Amino acid sequence: MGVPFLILLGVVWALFGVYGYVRGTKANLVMTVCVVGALLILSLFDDRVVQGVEFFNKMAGMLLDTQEPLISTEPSTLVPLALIGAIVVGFFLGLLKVFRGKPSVGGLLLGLVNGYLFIAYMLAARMPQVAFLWLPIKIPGLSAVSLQAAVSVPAGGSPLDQFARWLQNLATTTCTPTVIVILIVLFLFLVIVLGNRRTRKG
Amino acid sequence: MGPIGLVFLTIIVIFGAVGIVRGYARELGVTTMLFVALLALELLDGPLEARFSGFLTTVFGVSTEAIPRIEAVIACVFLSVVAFISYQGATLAFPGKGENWFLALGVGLLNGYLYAGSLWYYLQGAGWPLLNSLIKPEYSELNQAIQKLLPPAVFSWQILAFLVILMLIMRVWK
Repeated sequence: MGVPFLILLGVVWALFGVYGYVRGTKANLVMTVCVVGALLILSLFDDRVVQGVEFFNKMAGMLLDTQEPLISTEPSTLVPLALIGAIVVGFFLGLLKVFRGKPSVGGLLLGLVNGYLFIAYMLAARMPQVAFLWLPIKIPGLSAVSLQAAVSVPAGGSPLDQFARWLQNLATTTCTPTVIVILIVLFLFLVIVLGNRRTRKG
Repeated sequence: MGPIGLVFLTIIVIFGAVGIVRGYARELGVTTMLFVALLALELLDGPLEARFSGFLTTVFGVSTEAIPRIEAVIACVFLSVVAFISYQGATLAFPGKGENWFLALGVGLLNGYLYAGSLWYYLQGAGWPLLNSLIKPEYSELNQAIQKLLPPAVFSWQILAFLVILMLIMRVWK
């Protein structure tokens, strides 16, 4: 684990903090509830989640005429999907009028909490050998390593090499195309809804 | 990723900058048209592939070995024409002034990904017709990984049909 990697983690954490400050306390509280809720569901009802995903794979397989499961049921796939889904849902809920607020320090702190949870569980799911952050909610199949063990993992080349390896892992994950499509659809939906809203306001 | 990958990534960034200038309302129209173009190409590459290949062979006498290259060139030309007519002149625009620079950048980058990413996919898949003396097929693992994330690899024709219908509905829904 090298210094550039730690800087990248720090940047992601800071972005969550900045977003939290800008959006305010209420919007970030909603996102925290969504993220913690998703993690609790994976912790307490992991069997049912796996059954649900297998059912979805079966339906999708019939629709797309393929035997290959669309989404893997491993924690290394489900946890990132759940986190990203929770953040997206929390983001959209935070746009509602009732949760809108002014920039605040409370939002900043909650944003940092959201960022910590996101980084800690993403590391544990996708890069377990350097997952040194404490995981407050226990999820079957995920664990953290000691800081010593994480630091002793070789940095593995330049940042570009590390990025290339990460991208290769992403490209070979079966659910990546599905996630890309979902993110694009959600982004377009957001842009169009905002555009329509501004037109109505005049 | 070699220089050719950097060229396409630069094109995507340029599309992002163009998006900021034009605004997201007009860029969404380009997105819709690119989805339509990709849907047509995916249909020709999928359910209609046999008929299209037969058409090329029967009408134009194209050999079986040359069909992938011809199809790649047709795909690139068709995408470029659609992108050009979408950006030029009176365009399909969505409601809103489109002044939010962040959203405009996002939609511009998406359009760049759809256009330049698809060109990259088709040209590399066909072995870089006309450029095979300049570009050797010794692709890095990063290049091969990116190929799996380009639009024709990610979007099946069913998903593109859904996206086209969704965009048209969102265009007329007030």
